[in-house]
Amino acid sequence: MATTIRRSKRIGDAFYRGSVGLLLVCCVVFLLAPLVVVIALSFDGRSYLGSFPPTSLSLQWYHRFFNTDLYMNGLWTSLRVSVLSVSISLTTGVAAAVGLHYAKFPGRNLLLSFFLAPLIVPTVVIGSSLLLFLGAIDITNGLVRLVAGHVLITLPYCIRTTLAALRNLPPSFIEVAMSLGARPWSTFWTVTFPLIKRGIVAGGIFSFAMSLDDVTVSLFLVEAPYYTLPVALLTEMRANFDLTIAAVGAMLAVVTACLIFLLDRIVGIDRLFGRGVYRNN
Amino acid sequence: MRPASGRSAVIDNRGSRRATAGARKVLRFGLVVPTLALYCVLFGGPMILLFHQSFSAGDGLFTLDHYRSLFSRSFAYNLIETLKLSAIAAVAATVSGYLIAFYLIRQCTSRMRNIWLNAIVSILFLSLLIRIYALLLTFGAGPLMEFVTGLFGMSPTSRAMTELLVVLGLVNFTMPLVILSLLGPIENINPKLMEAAQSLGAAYWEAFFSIELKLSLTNLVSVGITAFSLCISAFLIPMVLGRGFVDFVANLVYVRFQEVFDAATGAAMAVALLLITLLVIYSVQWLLIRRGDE
Repeated sequence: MATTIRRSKRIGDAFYRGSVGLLLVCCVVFLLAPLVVVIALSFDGRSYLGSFPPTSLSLQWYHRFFNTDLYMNGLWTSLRVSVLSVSISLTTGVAAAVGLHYAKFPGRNLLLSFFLAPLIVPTVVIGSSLLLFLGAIDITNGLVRLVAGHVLITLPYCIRTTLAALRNLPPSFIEVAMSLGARPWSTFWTVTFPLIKRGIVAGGIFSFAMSLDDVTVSLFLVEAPYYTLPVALLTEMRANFDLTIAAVGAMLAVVTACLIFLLDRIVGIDRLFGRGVYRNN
Repeated sequence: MRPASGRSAVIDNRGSRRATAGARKVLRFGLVVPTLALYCVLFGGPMILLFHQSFSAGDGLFTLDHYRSLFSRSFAYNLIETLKLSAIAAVAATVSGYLIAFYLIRQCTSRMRNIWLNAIVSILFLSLLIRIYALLLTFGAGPLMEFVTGLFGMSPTSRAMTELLVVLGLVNFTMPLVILSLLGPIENINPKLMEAAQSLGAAYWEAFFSIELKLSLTNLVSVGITAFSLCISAFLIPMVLGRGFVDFVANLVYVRFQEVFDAATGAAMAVALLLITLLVIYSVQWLLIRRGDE
């Protein structure tokens, strides 16, 4: 009797582990297969959208990307908008985070939730409200409109990462500097700032990525002749199915992987996520 | 101790503590002012205008007319479609994300875990537009998909397959986030509890369901609801993968604003979308606070 129970348990376990394993494999394939397909198709030598895998290889889609004005103008606008808006967000956001962190004025928490609110508001709502507002105050310059939108979507990230870095800073470091006679201003620049620099840089990189990738808000705010690269890609994607987008995707995938590799070397991905109490290995 | 400006240090030397404290308070607030100004112009103003627009009948008159379209049959249909597909995607992403996170924490060597984490974070960082395009290329059409859907007597461009494609897009969008936010909570459960249960005679799956799953249930639910809130405000995924068959509320807002130029109804829809999203997000906080009380 006992053996039968044990055996049925073992069969149950085998069945359970088998199905979970199968599900895991499916998930991994589901997450990674599309990337493999995109990278493979970006080297497709055929001039039409054929079946997978490609029958001949070439670099024609990469060539086309760098020789199409639509994409190059978009890329140039994207870079300008992202650099401008991230610079604005970083300078004001870091100052605000420092102010908020050491602040004791009433309404501090309320202010903080107001600053982080754009993170939970759907991007469509942000885009449409900005569209109404910029129309109402008659701003028609496409570059200004895009920068306005991108500042709003990057600022919360800059504030949040700087605040997180400040919270991780042991207050004793600053107390030591002060007790040794450093003034607040020099304490900030010689102790606090170097220690939170990494967090600020991480926030800047993240904001830059968010800004470069944004489609929704930009789609509401584009005004000729300025449009960002993702908007150009989206219109092409809907108009005609051409594999130049796959070439962009493959290049972006390589750049992203390199960035993550670097980030792992500098900060350690493992330490950024999933730091629990119990770790078995 | 405080990062204030050089001026407050000068006051400090004069020895007037009260003046210093006051000056520092002002300076600290001064650091916040540029951001506050930006937010008032870029966020506060636009939001107020959006609300105003949704209730305005022109000439300062108040009306609820624009909200009437929210009670039409077609809007209800799109709202139900949004909620239905989002719920399916959120459940699928949460369940599979939980299993992956559990595998990474408990059954993986630290080297493998690092490789997987790098891959997952890379996917998370990769442009959403490119991920959607990749899904469209892989599952959207092509002979393989024609073969697979042919087995069920469907075509890859049928309505059901399009809905499935949108769900796949939503799952692909939220799963990396689910995995990363579940790693910590899973690691906080003592693995010895499960070993103890097994040594007392429980089968592996019994121990898994009655201990691991039970202890991380609240986290699972809150992560699931967060994923759900991300899905219901999705715009790009239904726009590209929906191929015109599947429209979420966010897409209706876009069409009202940019294609039909009916900003008033668009504003009403945007307000409705905002309220639904906030309701969902606050339910997560309520859940977490209630757990904190126990």
